[in-house]
Amino acid sequence: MESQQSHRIVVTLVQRASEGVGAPELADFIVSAWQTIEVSLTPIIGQSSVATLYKRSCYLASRKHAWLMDIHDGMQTTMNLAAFKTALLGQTSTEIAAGAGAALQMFYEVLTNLVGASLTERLLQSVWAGLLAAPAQDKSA
Amino acid sequence: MNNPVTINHLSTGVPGLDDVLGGGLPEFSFNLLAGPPGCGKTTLAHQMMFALATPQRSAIYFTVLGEPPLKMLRYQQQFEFFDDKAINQTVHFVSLSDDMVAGGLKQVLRRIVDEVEGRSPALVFVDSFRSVMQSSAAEGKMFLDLQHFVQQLGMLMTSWQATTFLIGEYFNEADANPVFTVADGLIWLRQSVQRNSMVRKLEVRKMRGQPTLPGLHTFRIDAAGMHVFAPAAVPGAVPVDFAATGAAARLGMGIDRLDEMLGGGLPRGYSMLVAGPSGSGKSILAAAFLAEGARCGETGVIAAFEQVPSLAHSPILAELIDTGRVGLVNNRAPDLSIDEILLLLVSEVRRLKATRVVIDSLSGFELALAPTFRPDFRENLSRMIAALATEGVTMLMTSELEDRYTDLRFSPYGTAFMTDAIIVQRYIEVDSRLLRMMAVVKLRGSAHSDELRLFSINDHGIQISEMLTDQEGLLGGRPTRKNPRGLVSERVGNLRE
Repeated sequence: MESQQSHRIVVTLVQRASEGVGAPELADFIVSAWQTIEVSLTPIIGQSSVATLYKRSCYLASRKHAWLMDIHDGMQTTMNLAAFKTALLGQTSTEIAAGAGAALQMFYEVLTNLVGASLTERLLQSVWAGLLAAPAQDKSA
Repeated sequence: MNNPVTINHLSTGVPGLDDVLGGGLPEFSFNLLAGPPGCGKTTLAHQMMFALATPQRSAIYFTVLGEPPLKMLRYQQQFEFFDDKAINQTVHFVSLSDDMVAGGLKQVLRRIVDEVEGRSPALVFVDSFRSVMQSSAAEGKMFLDLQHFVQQLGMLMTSWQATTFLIGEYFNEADANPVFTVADGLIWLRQSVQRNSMVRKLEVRKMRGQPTLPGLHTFRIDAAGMHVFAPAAVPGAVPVDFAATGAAARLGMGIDRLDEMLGGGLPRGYSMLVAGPSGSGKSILAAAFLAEGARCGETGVIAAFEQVPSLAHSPILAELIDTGRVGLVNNRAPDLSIDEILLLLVSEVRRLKATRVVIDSLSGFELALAPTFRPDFRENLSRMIAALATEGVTMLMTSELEDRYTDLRFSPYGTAFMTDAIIVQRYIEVDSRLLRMMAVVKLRGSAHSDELRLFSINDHGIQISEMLTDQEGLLGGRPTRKNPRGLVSERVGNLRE
């Protein structure tokens, strides 16, 4: 089941790419989204649980975006966002938006499957607020 | 002058638990929730937390190395008390598993202190504690040892004015664990397994400064969470003053001639036992008792452990139940306890302002109980009768009695002495027919008939007829016709031959 919220992430990112936002800027934006996720969830479910969910999301998204497989490979107990950013920068803006968007969407859905939609919503409130509000702010700037 | 500090008590939000605790949880107490895996510790902790947490009184739930928080959140939200709107508002979850791995108890304690200083919670939960102990034992003296950890935690939390709960798995409760000494409250959860039945039980082993209810108390966990069946408080014998209420002193039984045999009816507030073999008409007598109450504008409650009363066997009773004049308690849970039935009965009695209560039958009741409660059936039954007496109701209980023609028995439980009145029904053989007879055996403090009366059952219920004055030896089941000349008696059956 695809939630509206998680679908909006992909749409927003793809829209930003089509508007001509460059790869570095998109990559920064996506990394900062993951950082917000890490900051919001680590205190509650622990660092390694967040890292595992992150890897699971990249794995699920890598079925359509094979380059995400590189991030999934290897056992890590923390999220290596520097490596993630490097991987992002090797892709075009469109692919960054599609692949990384899919990974974020997967993260949202995996968490929803585990703890339900309303709790996921609550736990990730600040993440989506920043993520979905950002384009509008950028436009007005 | 002695001017003791007033200790506020927190209501746990777990039905029945406040009673068992002796009036709720003392504020700022340091409590241990202990028990084997699966006994409901985490559920109890969550239920109390969601009930207690308010914007003015927030809670932090620390998870150490026990259940992974993600799974805990997944399963706990199945309960109705779980309120996800409270999370990150009044309830904060903090995972300390990484701290435990990185720096042991010392770092766990430091993180707890940081979080508590940062958020000033009024409620602190640390889950789970056994993992803390084991880990500290494994790591030896490199880290803070357990006793210091608990002592410091207890001291810090009390000074920070936080009511604290440590959740832990303990298998050996006889162990002289230092944690037990430090804790103000010790709540032990168990799963008692006997034969195929499992019953959850809770014990308050310790709660400083308050009168807890001793003993093991049954509890159940369902979608709403935990429910403790606290034993009903039975105050000292306070006879209900029926004269003051203006109600009739004796209740009609709804059967012609039976009131006569009882010297004018069953005195109000009495408990009566109707004993007899299967099919002798005990349930019909009980239904008549309730129907007579309804006729007089009274309400009743029936705890049915025999046939479901809505069956065609007793259309009158079914109608009384449908129209709300008789409340039905019909619980068949596999972990049923007498305390639970009593709780259900009392709440129905209060809801309907009922004056008549029927338990049909004690034999079915005993069978319905989980095996673990059966050995204490008599004790608990006696307590239940006493508790219902304080509600001011008049009780009628039926009891299956195997017909024995060698002696006169009233009930297999020795319940006879607990009740104020006894009616016995028996089968007798007369002229190759199986006839029924009934007698009032006991009626405390009242004159009553001593006659053995024949009775039959037809569409209108029980019809009591005359005594069999020309027969003797009725209690032996095979009476003989009295010889009018007072000579040798012959067996009735032999007369036909």
